[in-house]
Amino acid sequence: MSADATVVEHGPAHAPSSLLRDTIGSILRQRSSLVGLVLLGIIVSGALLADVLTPYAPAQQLTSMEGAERLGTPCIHLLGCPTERPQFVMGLDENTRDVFSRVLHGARLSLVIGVTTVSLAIVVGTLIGAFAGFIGGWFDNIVMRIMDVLLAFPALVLVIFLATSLDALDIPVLTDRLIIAMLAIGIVAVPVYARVMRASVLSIREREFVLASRALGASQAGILFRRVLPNALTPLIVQGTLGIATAILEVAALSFLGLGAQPPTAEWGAMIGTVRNQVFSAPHLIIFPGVALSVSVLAFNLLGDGIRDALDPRLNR
Amino acid sequence: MLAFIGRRLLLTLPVLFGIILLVFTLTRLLPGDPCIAALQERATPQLCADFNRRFGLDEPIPVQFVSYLGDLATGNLGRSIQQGRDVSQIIVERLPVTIELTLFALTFAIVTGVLLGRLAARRRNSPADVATMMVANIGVSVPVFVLGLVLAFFFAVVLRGTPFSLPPSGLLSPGMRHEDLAIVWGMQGAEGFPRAVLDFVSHMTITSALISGQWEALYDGIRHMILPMVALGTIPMAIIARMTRSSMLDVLGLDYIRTARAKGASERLVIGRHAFRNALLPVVTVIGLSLGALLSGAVLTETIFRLPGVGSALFEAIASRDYIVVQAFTLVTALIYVTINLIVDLSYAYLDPRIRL
Repeated sequence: MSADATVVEHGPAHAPSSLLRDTIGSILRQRSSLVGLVLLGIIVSGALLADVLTPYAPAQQLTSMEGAERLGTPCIHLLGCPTERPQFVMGLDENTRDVFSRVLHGARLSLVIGVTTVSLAIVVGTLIGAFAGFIGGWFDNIVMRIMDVLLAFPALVLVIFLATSLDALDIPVLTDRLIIAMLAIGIVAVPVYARVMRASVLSIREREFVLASRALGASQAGILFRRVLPNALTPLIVQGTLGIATAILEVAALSFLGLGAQPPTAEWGAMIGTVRNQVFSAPHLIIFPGVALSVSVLAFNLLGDGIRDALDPRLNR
Repeated sequence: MLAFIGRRLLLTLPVLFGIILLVFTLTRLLPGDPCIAALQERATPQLCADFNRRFGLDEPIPVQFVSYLGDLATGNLGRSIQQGRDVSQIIVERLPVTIELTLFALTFAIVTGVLLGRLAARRRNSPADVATMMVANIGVSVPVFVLGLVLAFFFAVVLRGTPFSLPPSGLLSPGMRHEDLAIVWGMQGAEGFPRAVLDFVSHMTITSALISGQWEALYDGIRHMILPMVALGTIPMAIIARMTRSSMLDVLGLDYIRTARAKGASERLVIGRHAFRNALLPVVTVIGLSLGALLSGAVLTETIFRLPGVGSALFEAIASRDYIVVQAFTLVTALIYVTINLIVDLSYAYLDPRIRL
């Protein structure tokens, strides 16, 4: 997909394979995307290997275990914790569950949440933007005004509003608050992608190569998918990467407020939210999920910034 | 300029209308008969029919929408299901706290962000630049509620007993006296609008302590404000720092800067007089954008630091499923957001004449 995008962007003079390599190379040359990729690699491997790396299940209560106590502080044998105590790298939470297991499994959940909500928003957003740009006229006007209205709210406030409303509506399919939260976050993110897509449609629609394919008898759909979409890929990828960071943050914030993932789900925001009154007695319950959350958001932010800088033709070095 | 203001106002109207329509539609879709909510166990079919007629709930939806617009215009935002009070009353009590917190956070964000961005741009690629941009990147990524809780833990527990310890919750220490303005100025007799203004300002603890000379309360209030201010202001601060840096670098590459340098102007003069002022223009837009982060973050900040503002009221309303309050607060926040963005746009046009064209 990205190979196609770069071919169209830079003209047919280069061979696709070397261009793909060039693109990846220039992304990797950006310090920020490199750091972002490394951090992301750590998080993804932690999430994939969560079952192997963690000694306990995320919801398992270790009440019957010798030496395991509620809100137990971290105990690492390598760092001089007495070996007669069982090892808990990140300590135990208010229900005597292993925090390390919960944090790693939380990574899995957060990545899935981030990628799904953004994919949903990108699919819906690009379709809306493409139709608005192609059809134009009153349709474009109405659709884009609706997008303006969605953008006129502070994002988290609108997400909270949609999530409470969807929750109160009692729609049969939507009973899980986490799904409701993801849906709300996805809806709020749609206008960003719709705008990106519409802008590329408008800028490309009248270009010579599009007119040429139209003259050759290409269908509207063909033009959309072969000519317009590849050209819109760069901003969509950049926005999407940054959007994953936002989505992870917003789901965590909603769960923190009690609107997203519900206990005992191992979700970082929910984990912090349920123990926020114990921050003074058991800070490890806040710090470990908090660091995991911040690092994930940082990874996607850095990666998005790096891709933007690498692919921005105005910054050609 | 007038034509520009007029055009910008006209563009805002459909958005305002859309916001109200969206909130209205979702309100009407929600289950829960308003009659049963209001009368509770006293509700009978007969009473409910009367109730619906009295409040216009038996009218067609478009008619209801018009009367809803009328309600909004007169400040009637509905009644809290849980508290049994008018939502507008709750907002008058709680909004001042949020306004004060947001203004402090915004000031912190602008001052620190602009200083850091300017420093980074002046020493491009120096360790100071790298460090500043690392702080900015991390600052954007740490969620408000994580930063807030960590700050509270550090300053209230780790530094307890040192001069640097700071209180982690509330507006004032327990037992700290803070008199309402009406009492300090001997205006208990005031009623109506003047009294409402006095009460509104009285709820802004620091401001009212400052203007009425309650120095102990002022000192205590500022100490309580520092942690929430930093927690809420860090994300906008980081955004502003990055924007200031890149905008400074853009300007420093322009011809007139080279001319100024060629004329022998000192570096201080070039940066301070020629580059900095022009570089501030894009920063104004970012300030408008960070307002969304501030209003969103206020919900989390007020919840963590137990400040009685609109945000924590929203949190309480979520917890008790008081969706009338949630909707009213969403509406009010969106209206504030749109208005301030309008002001930012207009001031941008004032600062940069090219925009007006």
